[in-house]
Amino acid sequence: MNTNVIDLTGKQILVTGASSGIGRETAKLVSRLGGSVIVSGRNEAELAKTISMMEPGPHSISIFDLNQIDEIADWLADLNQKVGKLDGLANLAGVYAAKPLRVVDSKLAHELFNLNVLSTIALVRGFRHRKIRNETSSIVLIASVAALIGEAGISTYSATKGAIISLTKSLAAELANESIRINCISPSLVKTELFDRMNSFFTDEQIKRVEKSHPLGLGQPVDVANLIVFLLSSASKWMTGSNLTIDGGYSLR
Amino acid sequence: MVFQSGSNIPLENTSLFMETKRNRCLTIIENVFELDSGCLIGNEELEALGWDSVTFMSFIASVDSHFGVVLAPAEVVRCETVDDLISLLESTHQE
Repeated sequence: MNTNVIDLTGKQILVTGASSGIGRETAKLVSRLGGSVIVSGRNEAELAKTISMMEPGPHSISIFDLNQIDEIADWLADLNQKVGKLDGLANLAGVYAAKPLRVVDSKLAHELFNLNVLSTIALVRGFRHRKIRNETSSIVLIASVAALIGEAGISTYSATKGAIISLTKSLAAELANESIRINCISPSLVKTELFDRMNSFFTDEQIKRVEKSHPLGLGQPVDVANLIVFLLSSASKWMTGSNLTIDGGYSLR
Repeated sequence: MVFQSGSNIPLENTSLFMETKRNRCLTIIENVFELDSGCLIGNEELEALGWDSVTFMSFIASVDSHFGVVLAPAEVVRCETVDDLISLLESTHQE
């Protein structure tokens, strides 16, 4: 008898942004919990590396750039022809920028909103179609604690993440009748490749100050992946429209 | 490599080119501090211009946008004058 509270046996999950960080860790965890995964991203070599780190199963790679917003519906339809219906979507693709307002231009704002918000809307829109997903399914989006706690220098990024929280709530109301649950997660800083790139913009002293502002320290990708698989599984079947903060205590202040 | 019209001396080796690059750096710094164009000479103290975490981040982000290089924050934080920032950029960025 399987006594796991979180079980994804027989479930097929699409994980975007699966070539690194939290996306990669989510794909690994879904496979350990019995699910099959379509790992998606732009970098084929890194996606293959993700697959090699997963438990064996009927997983597949789908290379797609989510910036091609108008192509997303066709991509999902094509995926459906290849692998059948989906039970879950974890959208981990995203872009970050540390730029104070005085150097924010419309190009940057469009870049951030395109990938972080517009592609998410298109992705959920495509996923919800009856031909694409199974009767009962779950969507997990990634917001950020930056949407809830003000920090200088990241206002445009924060705005995109605030949009994800708002989107989650309204979509949850709209999609509940279709048996689709949608929740989002607001993590604080997690030690990923993205974090390493962010660090190039800060001094050691600034980084130490950021670390100190997390009573439980900075997160690991698996800390967030644990929450994602919970939301994908039926263990969270009474949850929709929630925004779950996971931040090592950062927002306690 | 860029050549000046009518000359076989690479433009990079001329003082005109160096001056142009210096001017581009000065323009970036003037924009970061929201100063009038052409008002900086180079010997100004950054602190007197309003050097803080926002202008610090803005400078690094602007250099990244204009020159495609990310300056090391630990190096930037050591700069005290406008000329220090320009020297750092010149030593980091080779066109």
